[in-house]
Amino acid sequence: MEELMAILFVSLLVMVPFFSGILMLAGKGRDSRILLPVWTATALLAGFMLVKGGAFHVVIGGLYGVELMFDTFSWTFVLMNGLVFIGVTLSVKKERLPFLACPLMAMLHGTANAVFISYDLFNIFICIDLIGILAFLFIRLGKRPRQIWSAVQYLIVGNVGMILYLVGCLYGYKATGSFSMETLPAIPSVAVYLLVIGLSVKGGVFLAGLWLPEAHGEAESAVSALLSGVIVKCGIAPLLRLAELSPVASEIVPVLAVASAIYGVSYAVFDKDIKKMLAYHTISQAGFILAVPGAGHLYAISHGLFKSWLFIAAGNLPSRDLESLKQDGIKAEFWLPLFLGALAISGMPLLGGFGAKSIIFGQLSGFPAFLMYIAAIGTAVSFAKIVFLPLSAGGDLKKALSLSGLFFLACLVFRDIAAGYFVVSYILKSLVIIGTGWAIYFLVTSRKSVHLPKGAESLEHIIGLLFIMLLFMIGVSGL
Amino acid sequence: MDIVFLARLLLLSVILIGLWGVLYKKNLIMKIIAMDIMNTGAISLFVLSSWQRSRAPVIADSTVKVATSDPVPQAVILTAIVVGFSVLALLVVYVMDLSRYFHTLDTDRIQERWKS
Repeated sequence: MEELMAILFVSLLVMVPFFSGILMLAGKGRDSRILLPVWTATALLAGFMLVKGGAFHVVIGGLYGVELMFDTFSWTFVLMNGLVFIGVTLSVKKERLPFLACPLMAMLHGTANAVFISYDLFNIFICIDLIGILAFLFIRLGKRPRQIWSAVQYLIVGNVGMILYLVGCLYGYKATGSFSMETLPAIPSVAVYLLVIGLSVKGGVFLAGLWLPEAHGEAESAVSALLSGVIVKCGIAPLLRLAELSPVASEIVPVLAVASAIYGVSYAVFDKDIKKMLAYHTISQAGFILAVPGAGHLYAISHGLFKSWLFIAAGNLPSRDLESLKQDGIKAEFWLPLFLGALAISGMPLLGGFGAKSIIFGQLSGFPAFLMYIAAIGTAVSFAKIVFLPLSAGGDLKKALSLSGLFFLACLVFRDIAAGYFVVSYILKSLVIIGTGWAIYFLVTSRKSVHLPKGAESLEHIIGLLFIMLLFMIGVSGL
Repeated sequence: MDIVFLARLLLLSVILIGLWGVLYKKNLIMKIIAMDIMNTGAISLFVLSSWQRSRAPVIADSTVKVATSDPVPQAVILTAIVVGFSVLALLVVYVMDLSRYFHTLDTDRIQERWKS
């Protein structure tokens, strides 16, 4: 019975998007709204299963078969996948989509679902590699030379990471005789390090994920929304599972998380390019998601929603340069979604980020908690740049009520209400964080401009750092 | 020191040689070839790891002592070979595109374009 259910779910979550992608390709379809029912079906199924509760674990085909896990964790990610795709589809105008965009979206949707429900290391390897290829094609959709260059960089770094992951899989298999994630507690630490490094490349986590600002900053804004909303989560979701199941990973993943939260924020505070700034925030938010492995999926769903909303809103702006936007001002219809998104990511109550941040901070303590508070304040500082952008004349606030904006807003508000953390202490805490951030912005960062060195983001340095990290981890465990 | 151990050392050094190429070769085509060398090393490690005499995973009666190699790594690695190949093909196509835009394959010179 469970096996039958699992096959039904797989066909709905993976096969239907794939087939519709192939049909779109054959029919040369350019209107992504045709695919809305597919995304909606995913979201509804996931929502229903989340409300229903319960988890089941299936190995289709018996021993050495395909292993799947349907629990709250995977359904939350699947729900996020559906919602982000609905929002992005509602936001793109039909004539703006290049050929290939729709089939790619459908295939990406299916593959991401497959990553979230898979429960064995090798299937995850295949799905993530497929995600890498699809992301590559997505980044270069605009066909500008710089996009092709950043896509090539992404694929080379990602592939080197996946080779390490593959070797990690092998060591795990040799120790336990199975690729299943159930054996994760027993696999040797070297294998866990290799797996963590490989996944952190795809997940945009500290050091290994530094390809991210270049690629996310350069891609078209709808693509950036999908990159930050879904593709990055495909690396993060297995990483969260690893951190939950393996004692070795549960020690290193939170360290990487804190480092990436601080790193991303410190670059975002000083960046003047709005899309680059959002991309740096993806690195820091990956840190927030991974900080508490048991609750990461609850943060991930909020992050997927508000980050893709922000990327879409930033894509409508006439310029990417925050300095020139500050001088000219922006029209009210572009300003409102940016403003709400910026408040959401800073953790304003009722806007999605608050519930998520409260869950994380509720479970952190000691020195990591202190560093994460600094990262949260840094988030408020860097988003103050957007919150306090001046309005220019001639805007029409009524035009701001786009379908996708309303959709994202509704999801985020619902997210916060569902999380329920409306206690005075939590509300005060988040208001204090935002207030401190804005004060720092007015007193310090709005007056000074600092250029941080960005040498670490070149192709060779990322791969070099990857190996230094690996050797460091192995060295530390050897001592 | 048995032959499997020596072969494993050899394959790990193949991966490291590939890594050296990815890091220090300036030409994009050379980088991609080096990446493929890394991939080949990892794949061969899988094939090597199926070399075991002790346990036969598929035969139910495990008391039968036949020289068997573990079929599972060999089966799964086929998929990885295909994926590696398709990534390689995709990269070569777009590197060709890049060379048309920049008239060079030197990564330093491509990166210099956006330094300002």
